[in-house]
Amino acid sequence: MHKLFPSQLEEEKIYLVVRAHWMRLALRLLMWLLFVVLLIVANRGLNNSYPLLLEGKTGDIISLLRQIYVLFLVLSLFLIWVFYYLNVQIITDRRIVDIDQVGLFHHEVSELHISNIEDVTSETSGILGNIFNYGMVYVQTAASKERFEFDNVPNPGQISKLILNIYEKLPH
Amino acid sequence: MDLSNYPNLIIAAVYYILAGIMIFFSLFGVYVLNRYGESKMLALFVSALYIVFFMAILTQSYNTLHQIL
Repeated sequence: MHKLFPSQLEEEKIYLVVRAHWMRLALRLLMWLLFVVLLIVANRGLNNSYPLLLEGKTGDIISLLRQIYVLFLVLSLFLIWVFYYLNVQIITDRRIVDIDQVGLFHHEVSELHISNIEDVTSETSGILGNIFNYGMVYVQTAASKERFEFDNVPNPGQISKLILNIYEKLPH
Repeated sequence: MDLSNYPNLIIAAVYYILAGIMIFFSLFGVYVLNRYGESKMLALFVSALYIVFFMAILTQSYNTLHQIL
C-alpha cells in the first residue's frame, strides 16, 4: 500500500487530500511572470537603444547573463510548483495530517487525532478568497493550545463540516 | 579556455558559483519532490521535464562561456 504519510495505518480511510487553492499557485505564477516580462523588456531595450552592446565580447557576456537569468527563472518555476505540491493536508477517519514543506531543507508533518478536537472554525477573507471560495480552516485542539491550520484551502466551510461530521461519528 | 587573465578568471568563477548553486538547488528540489511527492509518476514526470529544460539552458550557457573565454 502506498502511504500518504509515514504513520498511515492499513485500515485507515482517507476522506480528503487537499492543497492550497489553485488561485494561490496562480498568484505566485503571476509574480514569476513579472520576472519574465522584466527579461523581455530588458532585451527589447538593449536591442533598440544599445544595439552595439550586443556585438563582440560584450554581446557574449550579455548573452551569458541572460542565460543564467533564464536558468534562475526555470529553477524558481520548478520550486514554486514543488512547494505547492508538497504542502498538503489529509483528513482520515482517525486524524488530520498537515504536511508542510516549509523550505527546501525543512519538511514538517503534524498530526492531530480527531478525538482531540474542541472547535473548528472556517474563515474566508479578501476579494479573491470570496470570489473563488477559498480560505482558512482552524482546528482548536484539547491537547495543546496551538491551533491546527489549513492554509488557503478551497471550500473551507465544507472542510470544517467534514471534520465535525467525522468527529460526531466517533464513539464518545 | 584562457584563464590566465583576471577578467576571464572572474567571469568563469562567477559563472561556476552561480551554476553550482542552481544545480545544487535543482538536485535537492528533485530529491525532495521524489521523496515526499504523493504520486511517484507525476513527481518523476515533472522532474524529468525540468531536468531536460534545465540541462538544455545550462549547456547553452556553458557554450557561451567557452566562446567568451
